[in-house]
Amino acid sequence: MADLTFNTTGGVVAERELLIAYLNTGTSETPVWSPIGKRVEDSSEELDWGDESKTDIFGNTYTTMKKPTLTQTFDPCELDASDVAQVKIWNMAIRDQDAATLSAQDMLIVHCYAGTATTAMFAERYSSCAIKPTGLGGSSNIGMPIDITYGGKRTVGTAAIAAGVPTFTATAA
Amino acid sequence: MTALEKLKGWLATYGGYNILSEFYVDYTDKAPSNGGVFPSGLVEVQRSRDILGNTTVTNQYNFGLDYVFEKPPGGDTEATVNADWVADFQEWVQAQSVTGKAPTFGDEPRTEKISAQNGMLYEAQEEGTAMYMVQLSVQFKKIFTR
Repeated sequence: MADLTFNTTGGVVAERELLIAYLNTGTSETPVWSPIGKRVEDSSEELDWGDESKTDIFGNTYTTMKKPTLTQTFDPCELDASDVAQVKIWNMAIRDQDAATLSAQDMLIVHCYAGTATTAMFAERYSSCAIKPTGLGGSSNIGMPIDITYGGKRTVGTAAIAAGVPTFTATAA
Repeated sequence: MTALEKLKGWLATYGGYNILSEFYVDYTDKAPSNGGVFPSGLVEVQRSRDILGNTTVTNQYNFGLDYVFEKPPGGDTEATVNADWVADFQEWVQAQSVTGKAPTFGDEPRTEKISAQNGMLYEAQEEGTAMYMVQLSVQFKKIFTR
């Protein structure tokens, strides 16, 4: 498979807003992708490759790696009625304390900088992500920091975004 | 309504405002009991962008408020009345801002802050008047959604 190219201008760094995580606030069959991270100024996917290194009796080092576990923290995530994803998470976590539902969320990560801009950008859908609000409160505003572990079936494909609304298309197997 | 019109209208609701015969923009008269607001523009205090590309800008309007009151040379009684008026005005601004009664200028009214500071005698004239100055600042947020 040929490498994807970045659609950003060469010599110019890709802006952070070109990597967006969405929570499915609709249904599995008719997803509604709502972005996570309003008012969050810094958040990164962390990739844990489970790497292990060993050095043999000849002094050579070998490293093994597994498929990565992706985690991401959104902090402070101040409550905002217009943030659809946050309202859904608040209901599952704070109102219902529904751990089972929280650990089986459908999410989409769109890499807007890779592939064809706007119409066919690289995207990966995770069918069963664990969303864990780690607190609720703050000083002057109410924040609800969120830890996410992306999991379940990983489906790669492309996303088109029109008027801020992404549409995901899985790549044919 | 412009920010200046909004500000002037609000200042006129101060209880002690009625001692002023006129309240101008960029001007004060030499006669006692008048005042003026001197706008000194907008300062961008902070700009931040979230990971979705929305931008929040914290702005600050600065105004100078000048008040001309009666104050004969050596007139301790008049000076005390004037100083009390200025202090009371500053406390009124603070109370209005804290209790959310002050006008709002941005997209997050709850976080806005208006403060009146450094009220002091600026200049006294031999003719029996004195100018007092108060620095007024209005801090507010504007949100630009992607």
